[in-house]
Amino acid sequence: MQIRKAAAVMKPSPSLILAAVLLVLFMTMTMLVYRDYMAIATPPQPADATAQAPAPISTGDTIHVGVISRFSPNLIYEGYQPIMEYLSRACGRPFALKLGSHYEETITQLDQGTIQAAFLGTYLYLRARQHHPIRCILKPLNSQFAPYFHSVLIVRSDSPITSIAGLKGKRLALPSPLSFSGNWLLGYELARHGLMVSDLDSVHYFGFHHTVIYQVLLGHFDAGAVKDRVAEEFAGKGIRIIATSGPVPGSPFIVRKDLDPALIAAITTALLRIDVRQPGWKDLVRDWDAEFAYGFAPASDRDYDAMAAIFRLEVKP
Amino acid sequence: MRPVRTSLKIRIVLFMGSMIILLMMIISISVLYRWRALILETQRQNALSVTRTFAASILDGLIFMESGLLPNEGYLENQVHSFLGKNPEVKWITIFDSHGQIMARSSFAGAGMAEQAPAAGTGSFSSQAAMQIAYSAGPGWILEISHPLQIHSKNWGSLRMGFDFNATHQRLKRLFIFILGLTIVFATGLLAIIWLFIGRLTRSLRQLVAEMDRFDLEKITPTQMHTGEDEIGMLVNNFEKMKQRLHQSRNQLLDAQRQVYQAEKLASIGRLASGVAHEINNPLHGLKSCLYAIEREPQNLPQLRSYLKLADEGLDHIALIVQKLLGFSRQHAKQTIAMDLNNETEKVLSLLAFRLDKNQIIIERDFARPLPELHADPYLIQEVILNLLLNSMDSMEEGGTIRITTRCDGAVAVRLEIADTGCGIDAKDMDRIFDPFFTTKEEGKGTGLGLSVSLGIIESHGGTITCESRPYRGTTFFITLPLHGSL
Repeated sequence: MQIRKAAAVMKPSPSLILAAVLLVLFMTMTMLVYRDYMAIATPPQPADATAQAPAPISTGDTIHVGVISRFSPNLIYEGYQPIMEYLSRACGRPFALKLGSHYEETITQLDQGTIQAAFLGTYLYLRARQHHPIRCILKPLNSQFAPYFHSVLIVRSDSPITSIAGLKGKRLALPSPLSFSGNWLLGYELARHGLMVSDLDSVHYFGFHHTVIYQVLLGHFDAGAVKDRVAEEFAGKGIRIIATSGPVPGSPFIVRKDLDPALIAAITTALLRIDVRQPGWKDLVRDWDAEFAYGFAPASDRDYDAMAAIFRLEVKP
Repeated sequence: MRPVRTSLKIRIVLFMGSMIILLMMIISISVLYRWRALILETQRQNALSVTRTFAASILDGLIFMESGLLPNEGYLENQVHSFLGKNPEVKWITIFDSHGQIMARSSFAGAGMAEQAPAAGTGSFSSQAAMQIAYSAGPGWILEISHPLQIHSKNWGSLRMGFDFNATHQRLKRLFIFILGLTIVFATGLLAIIWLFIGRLTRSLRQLVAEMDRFDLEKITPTQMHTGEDEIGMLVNNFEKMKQRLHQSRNQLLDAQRQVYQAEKLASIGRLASGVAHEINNPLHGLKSCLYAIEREPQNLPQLRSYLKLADEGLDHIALIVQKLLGFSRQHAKQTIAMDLNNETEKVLSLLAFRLDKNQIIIERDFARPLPELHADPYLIQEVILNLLLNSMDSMEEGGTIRITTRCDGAVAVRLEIADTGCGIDAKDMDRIFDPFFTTKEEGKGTGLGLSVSLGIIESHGGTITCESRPYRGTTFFITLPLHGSL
């Protein structure tokens, strides 16, 4: 009897057993969670799931395409590399960009044959077409699907200058001396408004169109001339357009004259096929430089004769 | 009151505690992992942003160098060291060209990917940035990011940077301890609140249990508990009503029991009737003879005096028998007085004397003398003895012996044994002999209440009654009665 009584006293109650089991479970669970929680080591994994894999590279000799240094090199790669990828796929040949440090270097590269095609500026093309073995085949369309662009004169939003006449005694920022915008203003518009370069306080050339706008925004210069497509990027961001040129034939895409006609035809076909009004094409050109966001139109040397006359440049016979 | 080993309070607290802890653990783990993911993602994004920023500047430099706008010599090394100097969280930087050759690197030889040249086809030159969190003995936890130096499909190589991740690791550890502590504190707090709440609830129940434990049918007292309008209050009120009903039922039961006793007593009297009639008949015959003799010789005065004396004795005898019978049959309220068990036994034997003689039954008395006085109801004790003796007589139709023994059982009780040499009781009936209305006698000869009533009487005096029997050898009843009413 005594032993049974003692056994009954010693026997833990079910609640005590349950409490002990729960406590052990809690501690075990805590340890397991801690181990799992602190296991932060990971194998290499993609950091950005939205990144796209590069397009497959086509086979054959690479066609090198030059771009005048109108923008900083990284911007040129951002906007022009997708065009190279498209041409590589469309023409079945690899296309690659080859940049120059200044406008004229692109012409030199064409002469030397290190590039077979190039995106030139209108003014540079007008100057180069007489003496170099090149021909234009395409020109970009603007947002109205017309093959023109405009040069614009911009000032800061808070600037008192409202017209070209107001530039007297002011500091002017321009892109390359071989850019159309600079030559339009200095060689054409100033004279139309009764001004001479000497009437200005100073004129400074910068490597890129974007730099011109940055300089004006910073207040280092009172006005600047750039392409309309670059000015549109800064719409509502502190600049104001006070003058716009007439329609200018778009910056031409040129090829060396000795380039394989079949390849020229393939390039022309591929780029003229783009019609962003049709479904699917917009996605293609989304990453392209804004100048080419509306496609291309066929171009010939004649399209640029009128401009040559304005600048008193020699017209191609 | 028996102590409860697993109280309602503990069970409720355990159950609710388990549920609460489980729920809190689920919530805490969810929060913990969510927070962890947030911290890791923030750190990853920060590191990725830093890497992207540096990669953009390196890419610009590479493009400028390619375009001839920047001299190649020392540019990348300067960038790497300048960046490391300004960003202490960056442990190392390595820049590979598109062929997997190192173009520039910091002096620190980091863990993991730092010195590994990306092999073609392994995905190292993927357009996607890759990241890895790794631990090595030297620098500890490092977040490594491999970022392609690439614009669209144009690739210049890749940039690899290692970020110190020890602080993040420590932060995660502190977060775990914080959440665990918070969980334990909250769970303990909640359990304490539940414990107190349930304690208040069960205190009322315990009080009620104590009241139930104190409950005595003999003395009905109102329940001393403050009751509210809740379920406990209802329980207390119902307990109070149940007490009243129990008391009422007990009184009814006692009444019924009294009626049963009386019925059994009357039945016993019926069984005594022939004996009593004979007892009365003998003196009556004597009286008649005396009257006849007196009538014949009324002048014989000596004879007259003698017969009158005899008639007087006969009438006294009749009066005594009738007095005994009336005394036995009268309905009494239970009355405890000091009594001698031997005397009460003798009184019963005198009632049965005629039947005993008639049935040729010998009575053997083995009385302890002196026997201590017993505090009991003498009429109820007589009834018990009468029932047992009648049963013994019934079992010995052809005569036999009844041995009656009285003994003092220590200083607290007396024992009475009535042993006969009758037919005995079948073993199969032994368990039922004290059941009401159980009888093995022929119909009309017994009510089946005798032993049941006897058991009730003995138990009401705090005593015990047991039986031993062997078929055809006899039966013995053992009665133990406490001297003062209860053992």
